[in-house]
Amino acid sequence: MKKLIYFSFLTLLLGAAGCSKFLDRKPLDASSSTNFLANQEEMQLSLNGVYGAAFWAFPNNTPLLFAVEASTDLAIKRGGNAEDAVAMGDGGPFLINNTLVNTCWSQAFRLIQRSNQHLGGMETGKTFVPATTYGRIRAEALVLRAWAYFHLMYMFGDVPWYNKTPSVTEVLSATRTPVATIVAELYKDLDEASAAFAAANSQPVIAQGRVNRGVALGLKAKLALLIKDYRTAATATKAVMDLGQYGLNPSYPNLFLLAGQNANANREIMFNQAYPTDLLDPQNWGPILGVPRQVTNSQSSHFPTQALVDRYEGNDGKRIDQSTVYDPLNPRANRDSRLRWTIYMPGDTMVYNTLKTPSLPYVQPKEKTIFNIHSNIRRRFNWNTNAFDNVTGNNDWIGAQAAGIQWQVSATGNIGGVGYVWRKYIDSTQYIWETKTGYILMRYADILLMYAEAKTELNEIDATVLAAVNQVRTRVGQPAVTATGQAELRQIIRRERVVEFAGEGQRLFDLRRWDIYESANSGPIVGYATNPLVAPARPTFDANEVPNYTSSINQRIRFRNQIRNNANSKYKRWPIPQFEIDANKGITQNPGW
Amino acid sequence: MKKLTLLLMLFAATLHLAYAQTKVGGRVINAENSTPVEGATVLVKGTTKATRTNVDGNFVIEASAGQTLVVTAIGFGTKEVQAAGASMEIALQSTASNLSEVVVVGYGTQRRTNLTGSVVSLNNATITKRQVSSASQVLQGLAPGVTVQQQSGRPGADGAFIRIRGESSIQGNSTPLVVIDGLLMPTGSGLDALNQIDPNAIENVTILKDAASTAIYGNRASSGVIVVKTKRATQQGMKVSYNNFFTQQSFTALPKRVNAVDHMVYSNEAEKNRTGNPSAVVYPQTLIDKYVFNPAGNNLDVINTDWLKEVLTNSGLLQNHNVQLASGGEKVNVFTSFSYMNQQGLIPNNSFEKFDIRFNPEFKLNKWLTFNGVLAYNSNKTINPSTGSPEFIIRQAIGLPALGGGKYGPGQYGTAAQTNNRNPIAMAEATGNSVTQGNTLLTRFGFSLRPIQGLEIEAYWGREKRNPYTKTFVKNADIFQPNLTTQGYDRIAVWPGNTSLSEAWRNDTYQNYTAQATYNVKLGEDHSLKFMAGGQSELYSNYFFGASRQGFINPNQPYLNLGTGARDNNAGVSELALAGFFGRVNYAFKDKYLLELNGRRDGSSRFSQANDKQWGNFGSASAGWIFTKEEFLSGLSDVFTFGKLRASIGGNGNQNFSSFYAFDAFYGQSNYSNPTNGTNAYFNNATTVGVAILQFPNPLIGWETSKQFNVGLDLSLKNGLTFTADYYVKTLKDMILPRVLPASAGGLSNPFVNAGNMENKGWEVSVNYKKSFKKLNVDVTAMLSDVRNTVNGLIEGLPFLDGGSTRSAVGYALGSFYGYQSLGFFADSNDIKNSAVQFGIPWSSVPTTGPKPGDMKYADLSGPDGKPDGKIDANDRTFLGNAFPRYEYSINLNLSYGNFDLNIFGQGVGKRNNYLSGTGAVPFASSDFIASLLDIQKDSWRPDNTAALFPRLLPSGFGGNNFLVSDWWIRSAAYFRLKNVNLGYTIPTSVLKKAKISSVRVFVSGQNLFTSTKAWNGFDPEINNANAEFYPVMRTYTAGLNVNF
Repeated sequence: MKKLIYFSFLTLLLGAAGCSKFLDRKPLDASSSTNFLANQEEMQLSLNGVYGAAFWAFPNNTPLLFAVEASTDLAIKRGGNAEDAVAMGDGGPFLINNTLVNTCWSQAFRLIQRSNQHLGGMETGKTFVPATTYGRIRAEALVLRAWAYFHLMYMFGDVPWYNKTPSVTEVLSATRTPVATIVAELYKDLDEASAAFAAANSQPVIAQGRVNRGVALGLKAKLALLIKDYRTAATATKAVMDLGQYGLNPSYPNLFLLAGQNANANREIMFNQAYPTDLLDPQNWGPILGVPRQVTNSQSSHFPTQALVDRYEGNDGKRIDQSTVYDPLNPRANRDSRLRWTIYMPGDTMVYNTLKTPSLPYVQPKEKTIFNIHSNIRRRFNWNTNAFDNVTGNNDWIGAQAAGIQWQVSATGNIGGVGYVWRKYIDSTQYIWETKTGYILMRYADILLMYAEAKTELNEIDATVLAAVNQVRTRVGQPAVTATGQAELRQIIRRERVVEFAGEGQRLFDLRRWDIYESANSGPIVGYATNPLVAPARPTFDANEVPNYTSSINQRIRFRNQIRNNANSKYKRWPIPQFEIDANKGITQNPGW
Repeated sequence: MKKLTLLLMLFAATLHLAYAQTKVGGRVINAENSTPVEGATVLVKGTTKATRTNVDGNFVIEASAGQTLVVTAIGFGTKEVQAAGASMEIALQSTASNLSEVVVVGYGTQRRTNLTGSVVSLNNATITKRQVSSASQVLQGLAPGVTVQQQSGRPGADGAFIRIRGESSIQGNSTPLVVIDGLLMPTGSGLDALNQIDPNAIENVTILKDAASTAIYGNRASSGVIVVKTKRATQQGMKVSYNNFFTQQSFTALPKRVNAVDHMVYSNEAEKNRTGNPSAVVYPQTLIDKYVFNPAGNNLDVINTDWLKEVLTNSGLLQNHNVQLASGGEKVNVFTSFSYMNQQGLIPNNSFEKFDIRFNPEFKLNKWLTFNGVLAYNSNKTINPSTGSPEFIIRQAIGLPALGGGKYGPGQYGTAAQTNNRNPIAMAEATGNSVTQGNTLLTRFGFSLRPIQGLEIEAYWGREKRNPYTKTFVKNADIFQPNLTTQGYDRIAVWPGNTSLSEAWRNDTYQNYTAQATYNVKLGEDHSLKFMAGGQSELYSNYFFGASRQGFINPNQPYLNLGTGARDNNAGVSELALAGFFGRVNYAFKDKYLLELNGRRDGSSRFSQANDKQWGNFGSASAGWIFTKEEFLSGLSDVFTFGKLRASIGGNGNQNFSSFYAFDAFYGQSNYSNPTNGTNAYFNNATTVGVAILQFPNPLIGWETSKQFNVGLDLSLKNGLTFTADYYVKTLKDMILPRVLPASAGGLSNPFVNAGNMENKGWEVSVNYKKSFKKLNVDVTAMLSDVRNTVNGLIEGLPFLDGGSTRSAVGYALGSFYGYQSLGFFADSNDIKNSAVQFGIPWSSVPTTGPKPGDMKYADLSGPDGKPDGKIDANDRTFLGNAFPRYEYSINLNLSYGNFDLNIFGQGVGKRNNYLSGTGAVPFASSDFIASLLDIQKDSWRPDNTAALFPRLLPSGFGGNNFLVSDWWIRSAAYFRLKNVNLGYTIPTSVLKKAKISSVRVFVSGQNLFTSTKAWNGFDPEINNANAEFYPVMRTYTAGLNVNF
């Protein structure tokens, strides 16, 4: 029996030898989270991955915030898709499972997840990286996480708050955390980031597309404005101004050209979504979406509205209903110069690069066309004769409606907007389908206007406030403002934000925090005069600078006869995506949805 | 203890045999199937000298030549033979069934009489009745409760799909564990490993079905186990045999095509239906007339290509040769088998070839130590066309219009009437092929130690190394077009338009180390005990790399260095480690009351060590009662020779699912693709590589668990009938499913969680009748079984899982078809007006808007509020059955008369559904080519043909709602099939004596000769999901030879 016991034990021991090591297997061709991020290089790789999630686009290659802009009074988007309904706010208005809304939610939370994973993961290698470098790498992720939360909160209100990677059960039992609580946490994060950037002696702009100290402070100001914490907003923006590292680019149009962005005069661009010039994908499709059909023959989709055009003052510094230089029969003339850098109007000469190779006489490969919507004639520049030719057949001709093409009223047909197209970001030195111009996310002009706004709301209107506003105005040649009354200055600042940032994705944030989303986004969508010889009446403006077109509606192009109706208070917030609620019953829907 | 002493004596005796002239020995086998009979008593007549045979049926006894030996064994008739030499072979005729047979079980053997679990054992004779190209096919119909479906007839890929007692997992693997000579083969390739073995070289296959039998395999065996034992030399002396067969294969079923005229006529009908304009045509009548007057066509302006005929041009020949050499001696036993098989497919460039060499030696060093080994090398070569699978080529040949140009001459291919010029004849013949060379080396080395009486210690190390290497070369075929002016053909294009070569190489190794000890002891006369304990560790590692290039200079030189275009390469590696400790106790009281306990502690590297999720305990208990041995039931003995009641309960696990490291998160790189963002950043307009975690890990993930309860009854009747029945309930819990997370989790791929549970309830009955009537021996087995699956739970808050046409939901079978209930076709416009509004489009007089007479009419079953709402929409879908076979049955008749033997084997399924879609169901529609219609689709609705099989004909893209998933397209795939007929003739020994041949059997056989089914004509009922993309299973005619020297 002894032998038996001996052999039995031997058998078991042989099998048991080294079992715990034997079963401990990690992926061999992937880097396990348990030991990766152990040094600076690995942390930098992971940080790059966080930036990858900050690259927001929808649909396709369209910068996400450009698409969001079309859900405001300043712009419209063609089409019959769900996201277009957001843009128009028509009838319905938009449905819970709107894809634009869903995309904003998903992409922001992807950025939050990546940031959290990075912030938690890099602790593995904390002792192997110099403290200042570690702090800077951490700071960039903290700012990006705050960036995601900032957008979520003005879009959706309260959202689940994750400051570390959640487990399966945590994700499934999450609830919505109040905006104020999240903002308070983010203040701390951004203060830490700001200090860390300072300690690391980071450049004012580390590189195009990367965040830095100014962005940390600027973002803090945005969060503060969201909860009307004007004191913090003023302090944070003042801190950026006091850094002395940022200024305004003397040329407003250069901000939206690839070469101008690379030069980044006075470092006005603090943070942008940069595109690779060494790879075909991704491209910035914002510009191509706005090219009128008389140039491309294909359908364009994003357009500015009359409500935006009329925000631009006359070059006498007066709103068009008060301006003496504004000419309703020639609205292009004598305006704030930002109008022509932002929008092409009928009569403007448009220059695009829509083909890679020349196709003379008209494509060189640049193509020059005089924007025309009032006749079936295209005015194309003939590069052989150096003169404009009249070419019959204009897809943007509003009179085509008479010929059976339901130009601006069709539910599904091709739509050419309401007589305006975007010019901002059109860069005729680049082939437009492969535009690599960065989409600006934060620039110094915003810091100045946020400072002015915060101080105005605090009623601490002093010379620094007027200086901030006038810096922005004088750069484009608009007369300085002198008003010191709170209400008057508030109105000027609100108008200034519209015309300075049109198309840059700021408008929804502004509408929401000023509590004017419903009033600004309700009413008919109108455009240029249907008859260029009959000047429509000028609109009236309310205290919030919202124009009213009741008196001129019949003289104007109307967008599919649509009326934006966002009067219902539920539109103060976007609906939480249904898939989120389906997957987690702890998430409540916003009121009214 | 007596038995042990005897055994030991036996060993001693064997070893000294060569020197003791007064000793005789040999082997006692079952006359029917040549399997050894263990425990047979061998008595020298007129003396008290007696011995018993060992596990291998061997015995040695002191007797001088001329004395008579009396051999007796339970279940067998007594036999007297003259003692003669050391290698006698004594064949016993069984009186009832093979009760004394020794059955292979997990990590050991057991006498059939003492089995308490549900086990089916198949011997070599049974599995060589059918001549097949893949061994897994022969298991069909031989074991109740084991579903074997052959899904394809493609050479090299015609192995069967096997499920033991139903589906046992939702996300993970339901394929049974395959154990070959003690090595637990990797789940993904276990059946492949079985298919590589020539059935002639298999000694037996045991199928373990209930938890009592499988629990010893722990978290590997929740889907049942197939234990394969290859042959050993068990007989003294040299034995040589040669087996071959030659088979002609042809398809069982393929849909019938229509000719060019029909294509045009019915296309016109479809166009008329679509437009509502009775004079609308696609093909003018003048053209149709031209075809009518020249039906054969001229391949210029009248083209009538029979694509199937043009594509199915390969011979379909299959030949198999197997040579076996076995040499048994005192010290060394060697078994060697060599096989060669060549299988030609139905289409060109489609074949399979394999060489299989097996060398199973055994070295008896001394009376207590034996070494044994397995060396098996398998080399095979599979050839397929490179530009499309054979299945896709066949689907095109079924679905392409006959009008399209096929082949005009050697190397001159037509456009097939496709805008992309894709021509299946060119694909099959001329655009290169994909050659996979498989090399598998299986080695096993072990020893067996018998240090003391009753104790056997075994240890073995095994390794399987697979190195499949695939080389795929794509070259261009020339596409021609008739030129009516020159009456010739112009080359207009090449297809596919580019050349490319890709090579991929894998190295998959599996290593196993097992040590185990078995101890048999008998306490007194009444108590038999058997203990077994052991440990096992396994490591699987996989590595692959591949490379490709495009743009080859010379289409006849497919070597990577000659590619001038884009290049790419790739590699990957993974590992899986498993370890387990196991033990078993068998107890028998008076060989009447039987008890067995199994246990295993098992660990898998698939789970987190940090979270203590790797190890689990599995066990089973089973009991048997041989009631015919009871005194108080002795009255039964007039009828029954044997009767046993069995019951078992036990648990298993399943650690096999798609992910190796679901518990861990790891960093990966991903390029930009909208809207799922990549991980790269673009600072200063330059691509900067980044990484991120892209999967949501679940550190708490664990294995799936299963529990099974089984009761069974085994009966043997005096009149030659035996009967086995089982009833079982198998519950599966903690099933691994991907958990859909809210988007706020960050959009990572979903984590696996242990959620769902389901149940398989089933019963199995098997009846055998065996009788000899003078020269006629009859052996008939009939089987019937059923298993019913019910999903009892899924992820919390997730009531169903959808997969295309199926839905898995609580209360229904896994993967049930889910769709609309059809009410036939709309008879007329009033019918449409009076019916529920179909998909939001009410009756309209506009010919192209809304449903029309002859369109499918669906039942209004529900609405948003759960009540019929007068609208047909997604709310009206319901459960429509499933594809899993129910009521599987088989009948296996073996007759022998004199030198003739006959096997007739039929197999069937009583209830099964098959969903037809795509090219198989929709006229003029295919997802990837411009299609014609099938002959059966001519039976479509017309005002004068309202009882049609198909709705009114409509052109491609306009069939609309008619082809949604509905019960109309879910057809019964119940069938009965004459699987095999095998007629053999054994040439009388007298004829062979001079040639020193001991036996020769010649045979002819046929498979799948006859099928009775309600499935659509042209669609084989055994094949799932017929969208007409399949490789038909084969009807075969075979002639062969077995020679023993």
